[in-house]
Amino acid sequence: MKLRELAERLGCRLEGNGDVDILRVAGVDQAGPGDVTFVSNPKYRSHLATTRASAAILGPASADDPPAPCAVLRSDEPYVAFAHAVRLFARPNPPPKGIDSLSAIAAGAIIGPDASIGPFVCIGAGASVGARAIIYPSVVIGPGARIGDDCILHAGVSIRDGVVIGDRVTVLDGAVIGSDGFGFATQRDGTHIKIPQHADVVIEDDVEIGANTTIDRPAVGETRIHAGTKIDNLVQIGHGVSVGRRALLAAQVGIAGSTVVEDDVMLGGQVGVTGHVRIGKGAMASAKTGITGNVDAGTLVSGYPSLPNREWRKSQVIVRHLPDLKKRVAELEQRIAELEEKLAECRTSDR
Amino acid sequence: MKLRELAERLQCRLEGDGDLEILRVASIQHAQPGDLTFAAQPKYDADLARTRASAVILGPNARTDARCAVLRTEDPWAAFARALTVFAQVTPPARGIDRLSSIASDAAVGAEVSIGPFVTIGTGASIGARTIVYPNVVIGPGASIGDDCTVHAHVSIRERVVIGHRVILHDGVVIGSDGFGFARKADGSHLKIPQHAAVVIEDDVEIGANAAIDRPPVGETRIKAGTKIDNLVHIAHGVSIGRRVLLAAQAGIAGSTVIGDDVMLAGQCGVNDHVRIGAGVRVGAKSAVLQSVGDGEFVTGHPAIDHGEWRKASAIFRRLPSIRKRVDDHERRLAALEEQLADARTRSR
Repeated sequence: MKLRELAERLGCRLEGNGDVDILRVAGVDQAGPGDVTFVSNPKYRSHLATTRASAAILGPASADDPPAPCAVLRSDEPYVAFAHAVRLFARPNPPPKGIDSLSAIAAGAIIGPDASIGPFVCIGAGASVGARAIIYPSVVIGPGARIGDDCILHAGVSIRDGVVIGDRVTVLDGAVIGSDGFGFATQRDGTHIKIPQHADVVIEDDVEIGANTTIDRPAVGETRIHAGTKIDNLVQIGHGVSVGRRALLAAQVGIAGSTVVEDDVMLGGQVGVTGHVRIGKGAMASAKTGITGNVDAGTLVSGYPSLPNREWRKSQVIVRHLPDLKKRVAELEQRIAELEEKLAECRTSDR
Repeated sequence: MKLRELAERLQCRLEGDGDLEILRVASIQHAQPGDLTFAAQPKYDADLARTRASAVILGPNARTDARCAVLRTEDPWAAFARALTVFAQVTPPARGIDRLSSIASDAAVGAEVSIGPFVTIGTGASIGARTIVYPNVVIGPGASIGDDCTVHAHVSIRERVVIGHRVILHDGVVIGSDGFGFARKADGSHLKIPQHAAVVIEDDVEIGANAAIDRPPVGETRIKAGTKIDNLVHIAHGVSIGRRVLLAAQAGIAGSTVIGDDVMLAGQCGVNDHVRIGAGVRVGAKSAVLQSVGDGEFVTGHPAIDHGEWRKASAIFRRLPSIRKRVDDHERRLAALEEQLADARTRSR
């Protein structure tokens, strides 16, 4: 593709030779002639000077940018333009349409037009799979579950009975949606009797769910992931949790039961959230934060137990000075003792 | 079902109109007329006052402004569990062995089992009566599974693993994978220590989705009766977990550690290897237990310390900037005092 055409398709302003042929997208350090690369993170701005790429997608020009040794595609949102560029040059290899003869589809199940159902897939009675959905090998879809149009379920995914999944949802390999919530009634003798977990799980449109992530179903009510939310690998969503729209949950996050995560929340890796709390709209938590109570909308929290980030940072910088602080308190104590002694001496000599 | 009959079946005392018709169980916020709900935490008192449910299950001392009927019980959670069982509409998969499964000719399969499509059962393995095995499960050679178990889709049970009766394994669970054991050689490479010893899961254990339980090179990994394990938990080789233990999601337990009976680990806890957690111990969320913990203790933090101490220390963490400022102030004031005293002494001489 000519660079001129690429610029048009990405909605970028072209600076340089529009006749260059672009063959693929590559990282700034690996790129060679024929490649388009991108720099959106300021960390990599200095790498631009040495790139061998034919063109680079860059944000609005700034004075401290090094001169680019190649053509430039200017964009207000370089990372978004990069995403579109990758999509343009991607050579996806979709599995063939149709139902593999080695799958087990219950008689009452409904498979939409142009769907692809791989080998060893099981689809239960009364379940439905939408148009153009791709169901990779070994996926199990329980009775009565509903999968929308244009969904992609990667290998080994489990969708339990009655789970409802919207359109354009991607579920990566090994994820489990609709497993029983962890709910037991402990008897006086210490044994735990199971509280049956048969209520609803709803995954709305345009959600992505990472590999081996688990999303539990509750005893009553519902677990719901709202539209446009993206969830990373190995995340645990407890029973009855509601995750808002466009939320981002990084890898190994855990959210305990009945907690409400509002729209546009971002949780860093390994964040844990206790049960029955509310994380306000647009709130963020840095990696490994342990959230033990409600979080106000728009705030950034850190640490365990979690604190507003500014407060946490002010305390955290002191942690490394604690040995020094302890030494200073010991010195103070010693000097006070000496002072008291001298004062006593003065008093005695005054008499 | 009439509320009167339901009260009897749940062994609750009825306060209100026993002729009400109950159709289902619902959460306190979503309940409609015809629903039974429950409230075991004071947190939900306000919701209770507003609920549209026809009846609510309450503990012996819970007061309520709710206008609905009340089912009184000593143990509202247990009554709630029974109510859900009464109204559950779950159709178990059909009995029999799916023709698309692959079962070794010498595997022993009990009466009235349900074996789904694409299940593989190895040579010499055995499956107990009435056990349900969902699609795509793999059961290795010589593994043994008891009666009335439920094995959800994609579970891997490796060779010779022993599983008791009434065990529930959720989707993607792996039992009997190799423990993480390597001998570091002089050249820095890691030589695999073969991990072929036993894994035993006793009766009435439940294991959450995508949890992994490793096997050791020698000895055994054992989960004792009545223990419940949540999703994404990791249990390393040679670990012994006691009876009636609760392990919340994403907990990890390193090799050869012994967990006593009735222990509760909250979410995302880590426990060091070769330590002993006493009976009835509670561990707060996200804790790292580095050393052995005595019976009945409640520990939290990284490293885990007494929970009360941890709470106090956490409160002080917030005040560190002000504490440092106070130390600065004290140093200044003390220096001034020392100077004054020196002056006074010079003058008095």
